[in-house]
Amino acid sequence: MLEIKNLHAKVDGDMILRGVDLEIPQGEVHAIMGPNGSGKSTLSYVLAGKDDYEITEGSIVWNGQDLSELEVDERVAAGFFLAMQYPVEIPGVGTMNFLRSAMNAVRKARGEDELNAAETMRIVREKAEALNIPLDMLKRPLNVGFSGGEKKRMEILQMSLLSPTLCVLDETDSGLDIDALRIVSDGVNAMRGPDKAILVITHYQRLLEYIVPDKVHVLSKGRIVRSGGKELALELEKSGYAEYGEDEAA
Amino acid sequence: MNIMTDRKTTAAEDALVERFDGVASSLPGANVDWVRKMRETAMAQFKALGLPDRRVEQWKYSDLRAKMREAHETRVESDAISESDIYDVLGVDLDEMLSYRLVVADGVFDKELSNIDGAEGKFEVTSLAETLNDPPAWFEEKFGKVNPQKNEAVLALNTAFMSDGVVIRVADGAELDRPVHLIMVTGSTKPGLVTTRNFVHVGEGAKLTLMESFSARRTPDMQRNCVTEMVVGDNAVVEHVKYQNEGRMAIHVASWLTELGQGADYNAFEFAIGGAMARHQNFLRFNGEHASAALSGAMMLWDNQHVDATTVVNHDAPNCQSRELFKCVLDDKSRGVVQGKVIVAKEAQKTDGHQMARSLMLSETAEFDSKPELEIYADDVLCGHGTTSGELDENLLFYLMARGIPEKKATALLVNAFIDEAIENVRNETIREAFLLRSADWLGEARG
Amino acid sequence: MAAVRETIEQVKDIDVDQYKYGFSTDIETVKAPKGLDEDIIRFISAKKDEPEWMLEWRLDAYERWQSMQEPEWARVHYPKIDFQDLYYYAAPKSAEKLKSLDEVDPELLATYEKLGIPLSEQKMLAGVEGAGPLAGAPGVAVDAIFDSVSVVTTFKEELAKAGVIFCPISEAIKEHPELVKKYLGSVVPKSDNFYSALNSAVFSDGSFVYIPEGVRCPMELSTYFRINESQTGQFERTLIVAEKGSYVSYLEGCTAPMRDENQLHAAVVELVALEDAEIKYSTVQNWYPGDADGKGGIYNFVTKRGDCRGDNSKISWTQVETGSAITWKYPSCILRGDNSQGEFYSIAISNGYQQVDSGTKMIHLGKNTSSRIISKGISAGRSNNTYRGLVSAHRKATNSRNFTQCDSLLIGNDCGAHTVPYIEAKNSTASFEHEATTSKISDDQMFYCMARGLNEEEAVALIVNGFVRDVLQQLPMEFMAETQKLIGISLEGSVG
Repeated sequence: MLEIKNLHAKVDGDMILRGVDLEIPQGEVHAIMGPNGSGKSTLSYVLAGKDDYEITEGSIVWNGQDLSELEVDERVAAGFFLAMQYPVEIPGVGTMNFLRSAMNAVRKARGEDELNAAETMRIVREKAEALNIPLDMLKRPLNVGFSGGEKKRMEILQMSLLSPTLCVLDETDSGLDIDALRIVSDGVNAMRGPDKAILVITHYQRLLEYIVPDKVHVLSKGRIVRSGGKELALELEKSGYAEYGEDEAA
Repeated sequence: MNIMTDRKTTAAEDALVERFDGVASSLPGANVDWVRKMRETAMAQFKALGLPDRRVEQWKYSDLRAKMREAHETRVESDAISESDIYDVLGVDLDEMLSYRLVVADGVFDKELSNIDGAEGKFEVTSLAETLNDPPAWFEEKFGKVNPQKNEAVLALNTAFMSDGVVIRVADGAELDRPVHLIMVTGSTKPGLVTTRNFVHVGEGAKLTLMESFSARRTPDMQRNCVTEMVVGDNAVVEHVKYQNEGRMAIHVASWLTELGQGADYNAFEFAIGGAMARHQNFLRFNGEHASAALSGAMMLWDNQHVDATTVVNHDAPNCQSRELFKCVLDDKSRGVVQGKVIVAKEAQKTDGHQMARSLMLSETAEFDSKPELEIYADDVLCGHGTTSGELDENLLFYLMARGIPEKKATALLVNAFIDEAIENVRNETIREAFLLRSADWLGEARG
Repeated sequence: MAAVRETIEQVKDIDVDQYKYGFSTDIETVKAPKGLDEDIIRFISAKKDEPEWMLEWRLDAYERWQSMQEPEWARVHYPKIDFQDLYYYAAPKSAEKLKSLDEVDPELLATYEKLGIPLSEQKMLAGVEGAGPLAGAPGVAVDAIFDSVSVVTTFKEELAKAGVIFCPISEAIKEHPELVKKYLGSVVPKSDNFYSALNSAVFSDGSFVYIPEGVRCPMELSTYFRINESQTGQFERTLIVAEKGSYVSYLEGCTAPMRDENQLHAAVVELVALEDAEIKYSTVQNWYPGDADGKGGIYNFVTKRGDCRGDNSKISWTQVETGSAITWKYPSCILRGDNSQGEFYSIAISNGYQQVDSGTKMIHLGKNTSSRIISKGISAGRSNNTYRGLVSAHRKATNSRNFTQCDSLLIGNDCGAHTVPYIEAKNSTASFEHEATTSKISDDQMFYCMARGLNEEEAVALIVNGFVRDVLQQLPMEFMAETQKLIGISLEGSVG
């Protein structure tokens, strides 16, 4: 169970999250929707523990463990994973080398044996194939020169390789065409399971046709203002975010 | 340029002048007129110039005069260095490398430790001392005249004091099947001033990989002044690599004086991790058309290390290309200096010259100074330079940590990604791999 | 394209010698005797009717100057200057005691009109046809400096209403001593360098600007320098103080007659920007560059420095350098206040035998300071053009940022283009980026333009104007078109 209670957070001195309350039981997929500037991405970074995102009040507890006390990498060891909206390019760091480092870091934290290069290669290939990631992409430096769709698929590949139990997907649908969207969604759906909790953050309802949520929440001005079933997403699609303070300029 | 008349000389300067008077008659070539005169002229020049300080523009960021408080004895008692010592001292994993090995121990060419079996017909090696005592005509004609530099006090000092080194002649068209590894080690435990000089002549169309390794772990505060003159013949292909792993208190000044013939392909690389104060000067001149050169280096520094990479590239011939890439990783209170000067003569049309210097600062107290100069007198050229300096990108670090990689490991990954871009310029695979391994270990050592 | 056409026309209009401001004015002058000693300084001070403290200040500077050496590090070569063979003070006789514009010698007014600088306020407001690069634009207040004195300052009353002080510095010394005492020499100390020390000893006039707290100066301020007398040095001193939250845009221009001798111009400009203040300083430098054989021309040895003393302050230098036989100047910014910003935009064009060694210094001392340098050097003829710049971040300058772009263009094969940047980072959070390129006008670009019907000279003017565009855009609107013309003129005869 993910329990977020009265979460307040500041970025550069501005209070962006103003008391978020959210519970996601294991086995469920929840979606957070909301207008631009409502704090969606901030929430994902606060969950991941990014510097400059300062929690001033409240707590984040995953299966009884307080995540807010942990470093970024320690949260990953605790089962957390964030698929980012804008994955960074890291010139000079080979994708395979990176994947192996990440997998072994997580394995080590879980008390499992580290993988050698050959084992890593075998596992990565298998998962990459399912996501339609060509092998030459794995030979390039991480995310460098990848298209928007390739970067998102790489995020999902990493998610499946690290076997997290708590997954947050931040605007994973942005910049994807319909085929890519289907591939990515299949990847996410494959992650679903009785011990997993998944949070999908999105501006549009489209993604939720492929990843069907158990619950939908509306975030506005740093708070969850409404919650409902998957039909809430459809309603929002029709009515827009006007009543939730969509800022025209945003 | 008469600096010494304007100021008080330092103890080190006085000692050097005095030492020369004491040893001049016993230095190699003392009985050969031109050699003796060459040394005396050089000493007179040194007396006029003194050790370079920050008022000498080219030494602005590396004040040798201030750093070199005293001058050590020029002759050190040598403790024997054993076969098995060599690679231990170097601290880099190259003992498996198949090479022609030349060892200069405590400033003296050591035939016993050297091994050039199989060199017949390809190249010849003699010791510099022997050659100076009985110089052949070709040597007299070229020696000391390769890409000469005006008013460089450390070059003058080298000429005055050079005790030994190697003379290598690679035959025209000879393709060496393995690198020549020139290992400069010191076995002595006493501080000393070691002055060596190498002369390398690469024949037309020949292929050579020359690696110079420096290590002085047993004598942490040694002072070294070494020079390599190299003539690269027309269409020759040369890779010239340096590995500098001097002791923590060492002062190391090395100068490479190189001239390239037509169509030559020259690739120089320096990997510097040692020394308290180290400076590598790369003087390169294009004498013939359609030659290309790449000069690059990787410097990884911590503690109070001060390491300087200075290059001066003279494009005297048209249609040549030069590329420079220097990268510094700076931790603690270390200071990295990268100076590059590209001079394009009026005749050198269609020159294509680029320099890049980048530093990655891991500590708030580190310092990086860069001075990339262009001096251009030909109009049809493409020249450029760039410098960047900054700390680790927080976003990259966050991304790696958000994938579960602990901060230390993530930092190491990024540091290596940064520095390896320069190391990738080494063409010889064995050397490149050894350097990559060494760089991967570096952060762990620096951070204890 | 209109500007290009104008450039071309302008080029066609030029006679063999392209310098159009090269005439001299025959006017009666008062001069100090040749040479420099304490008596000459006392003479200058007395002429200006200065208070005792100012004389003391000058004498102290003179004493320091005597023990200093001429700088030799710049890439410029010239015969040693005999500082005793110069006049240090020359003033139009009629200009000595002026009460209003009506009293200005008509000969002088005619000179400025010929330069395109109408000094009558009515005319200025109306805008004058054929006005030069620095004037003619309506609503620009001008301080006109002729040899060693300010002959007239326009729009003084208008400015006074806003609380802005804009007057000759000689007047400010008497009228506003407390301000002058507080700020003079506070940015460029007397003994900063050889030429600033000399200037401090003998400066005869210059402009003083004071913008009170919270005031946005209602018009562009401008100073126009004219050297007329032969064998006379011009040593002007400019001091601009922008109080908290104020803003001023200031422009200076300069010309001199064509003379066979070299004339010395050693000015000092000091800018002080306090908290939240902004100063924009633009220069169009068109001193006589010497003739086609490199004879004559101005030695322009100038020290310009701005101090971003307050938090969030900003100083921006824009310079278009086309004149002078030798240019030695480095308009700099000391970024002392937190979040302060410095900018340097430069176009330096050298032709004939001109030698340019110019650039900037950005000294980052405060936190979150940022600086930007865009330099465009164009060398033609037998000239040498050097960019020399320093960017440094001190220990406490956390999160300082610099971006430098420095491009050189070579036209012809007898000139040189050089770049000497110094980059010094003493703080790990400083982020510096420096890029430089040197190239010629590409054959492809020329071919493309000519295939569209432009002749060679037109094509060069078009491409060069494109090359310098980033910087041109920084100039006040009124002067952009004129500057484009000036660029065309400066490059006249550089192709073919």
